[in-house]
Amino acid sequence: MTDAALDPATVAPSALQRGAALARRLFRHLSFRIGFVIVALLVMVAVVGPLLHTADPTAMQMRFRFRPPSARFWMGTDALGRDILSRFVHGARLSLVIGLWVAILSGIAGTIFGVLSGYVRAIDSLVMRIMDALLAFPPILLAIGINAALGPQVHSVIIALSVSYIPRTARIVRASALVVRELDYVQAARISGASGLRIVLRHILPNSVGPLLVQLTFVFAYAILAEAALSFLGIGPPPPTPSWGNIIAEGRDYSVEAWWIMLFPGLGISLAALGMNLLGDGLRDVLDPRLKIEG
Amino acid sequence: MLRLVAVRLTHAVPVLLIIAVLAFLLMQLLPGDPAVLMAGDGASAEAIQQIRERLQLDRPLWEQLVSWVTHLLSGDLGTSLTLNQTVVSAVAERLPVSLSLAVVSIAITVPVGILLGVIAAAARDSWIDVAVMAIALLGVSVPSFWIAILSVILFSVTLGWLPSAGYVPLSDGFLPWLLALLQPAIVLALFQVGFLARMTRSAMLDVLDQDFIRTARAKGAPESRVLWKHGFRNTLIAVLTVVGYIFSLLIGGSVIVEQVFALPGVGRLVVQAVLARDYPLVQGTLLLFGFIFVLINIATDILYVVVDPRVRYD
Amino acid sequence: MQPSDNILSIEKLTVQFRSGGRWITAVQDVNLDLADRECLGIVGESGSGKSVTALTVLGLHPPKSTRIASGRIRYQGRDLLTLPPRALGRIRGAEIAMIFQDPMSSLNPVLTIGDQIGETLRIHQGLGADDAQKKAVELLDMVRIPDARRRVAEYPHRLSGGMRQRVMIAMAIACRPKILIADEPTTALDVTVQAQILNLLRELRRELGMSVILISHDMGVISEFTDKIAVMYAGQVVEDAVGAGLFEQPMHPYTDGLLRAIPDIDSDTARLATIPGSIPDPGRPPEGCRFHPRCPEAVPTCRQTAPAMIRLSEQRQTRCPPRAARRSA
Repeated sequence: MTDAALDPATVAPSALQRGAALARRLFRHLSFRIGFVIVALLVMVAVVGPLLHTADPTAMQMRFRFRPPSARFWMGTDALGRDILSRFVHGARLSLVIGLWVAILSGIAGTIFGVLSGYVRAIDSLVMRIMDALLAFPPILLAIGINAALGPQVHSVIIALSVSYIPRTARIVRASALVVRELDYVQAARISGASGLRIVLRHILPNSVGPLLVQLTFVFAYAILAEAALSFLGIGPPPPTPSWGNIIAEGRDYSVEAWWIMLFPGLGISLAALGMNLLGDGLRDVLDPRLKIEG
Repeated sequence: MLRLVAVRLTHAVPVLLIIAVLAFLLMQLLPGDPAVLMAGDGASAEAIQQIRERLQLDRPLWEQLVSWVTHLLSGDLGTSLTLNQTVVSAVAERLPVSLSLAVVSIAITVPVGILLGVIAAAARDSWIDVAVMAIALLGVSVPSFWIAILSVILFSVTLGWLPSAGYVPLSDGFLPWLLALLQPAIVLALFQVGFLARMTRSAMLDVLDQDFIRTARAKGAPESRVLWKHGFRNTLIAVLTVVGYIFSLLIGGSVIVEQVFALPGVGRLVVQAVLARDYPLVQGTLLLFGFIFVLINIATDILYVVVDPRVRYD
Repeated sequence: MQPSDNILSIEKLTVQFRSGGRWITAVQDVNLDLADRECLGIVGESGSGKSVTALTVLGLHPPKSTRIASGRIRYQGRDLLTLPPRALGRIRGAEIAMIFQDPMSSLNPVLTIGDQIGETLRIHQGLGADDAQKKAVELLDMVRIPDARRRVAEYPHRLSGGMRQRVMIAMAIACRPKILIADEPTTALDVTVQAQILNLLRELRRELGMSVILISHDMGVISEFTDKIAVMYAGQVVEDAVGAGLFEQPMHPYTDGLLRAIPDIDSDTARLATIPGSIPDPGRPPEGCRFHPRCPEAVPTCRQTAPAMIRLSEQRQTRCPPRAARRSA
């Protein structure tokens, strides 16, 4: 007993050990497990799929228009005779890439604004008023506007959605910063001359990581849904691009006769959003058990 | 109470101003020259220049901004570039459609979402809880435009129960109006019901762990009374916050749902305006949405005082 | 004592909690009797099972994570443990009422105190809102809250801790219950307020002719108030006594420790500093006597054989065989 207490590994567990302990707690959480399996499966489809399934997602074969799912075309073909499975697999890749980038970019920008706002008193109210005002525009509208401005490109969808979610991530980081700033030991560090940057890096950021990660998981899910909606409205990645939203938009006119065109990408979107939401639920329960309003 | 409303409104002024400026600046990002667009194909450089002057597009940015804000203060949002009517009248014409959709959707969302959340919390960890939460999770994960198409296939095409598109004004009778809106409103409500149910459950679980719930049971209060009068009553702050947030989800969601069901509302208008680079119209609608959002926030803030005696704004 | 004299009898009660997939025994084989108009004190450290015992009487333990492994709780010829929820609901608050440790969190923050007191009457006596409100004012007078007419419309957060506990008491006595269970009613309060609340309880008990179960970790509170005392340790009753005999001649070393702790009781930190060690993990109670790892008088048999309750006289029982042997020697 005494020996164990003196063992440095017990006194200060390494980052690796803490990570392993956290992972164990996460995997005990049922939602997290299910979400992890779903997301892992989709990632595999997105990464490995294009290698195994080599049909060109944009190759039109007019002979094979509107083929229902069969041994040859697992998900059927669309109005232009393109293989939907191919388009689905590439769509999965696009959705995940967009979701990931949006989460990363809005996470970084939100952290910068949140820390500035929470730590530098002088600009807090200005930054937060601007965030409040940005929050007043529904993300999808903001994205439509920004996207229209930047032109229909994958990267403009990413930028548009990232900007839309910055106010939400900024608020979360700011909330943690405000709490941490007042803690005794942080005050002490400041009085003893620690630089602002050091306090931000050593105290404020580590304390916001949990809540921020939870939020970003939900942002990931929303971004997948929003990208699909933008594509559907015709303001997403330009038409030949095989995005899930595009496939549905193209299949909409034939939704009664050729139901398979829009069925599979819809399932894909739902599954991806479901997986990320489940991951988020698990993360929230483990990392940040307080009641949170997502979004 | 009146004083509180007045104070809140004054506090909102800076945010409203920033919203106005943002709405203006966002539109400056749009590529393309509206003057060229308006003049039409093959217009002479002179004609384009005339339009530019008429719209004051040749002035420096800040002058345009000042002029926009001053006009705004007098209720003038300019004229649409594509619709041949003022922005105010274009929006006013379509607002009833969007409001109708919002009202029906909220009327579905709030009772259903709260009921599901409370039931799940009361039956914590049982199969009922798991089932209700699975439904709620599906609600926030399934894309609304996709479920809208599936729903049209089922209820309009196959069963023929509900119209698949179009709007019937309330003046044509309540039932036709409701029938036309029912399908889009339910589709719109799916995400919100899921969201509200999840939030209500989590707020209820917090409250049900409190000591005063045990006190209520010790009094001999029946379980339904414990749940609603003592439990739910204490989640109202959280639930109100979520309902306020749902209004803003509603605006975004209506953009998509109006598109799918061909409802001539503001959401559809704004998509058309963005695609046509109709600056004044986009600015006007963005502004409207921003203002509605701020007003809803003020309303929630004020309602906090009504539902919780501990909340005081002094 | 004849069983029929008792208004409430807890017989061989064993309560278990689920923790990490295992059932852990929180209360084991507890026998307690409460006679009409009697005051029973249950004393012990936190974690000794005294609150769990009290909550079980009214079925207020969390139903999913708890199970009653054995026992009966007899009240007026019925077993409260097997009563259907509706029937138990009619007894709760009307015939058996309870007040809790923390009056801050035990009152509903969004309802006026008048609503909350009146609720008991509305549930059990079918009173209308106005009548309930009038009765609530009377009850506030009864628990000596000044200016009751005005206070009745206030919300709990406007009242001090002592006032809130008075409100809790008003709520509990609204239907003139036969039994009042007070679970650490003064622990969360200032010392001066503690005395006032205890005096109030004493007076009300006399006025209303209630039987009382008073639960406390504080021997000082227990000694002033009760006719009969049960000492609990690690889920078991280790000693019980009718009258003051327990203070004059404790029959269990744990009771010695509790008695020595009286002067320090106000400051939480010094609590039971006189007994070295801490209460055992309920998941892994020690072999033999549960107190032996902390007991200065432990002999080898204490480590091996779990002692049963030993009846010393009509008034006394103990779970300490060495002391019992010494007394009879």
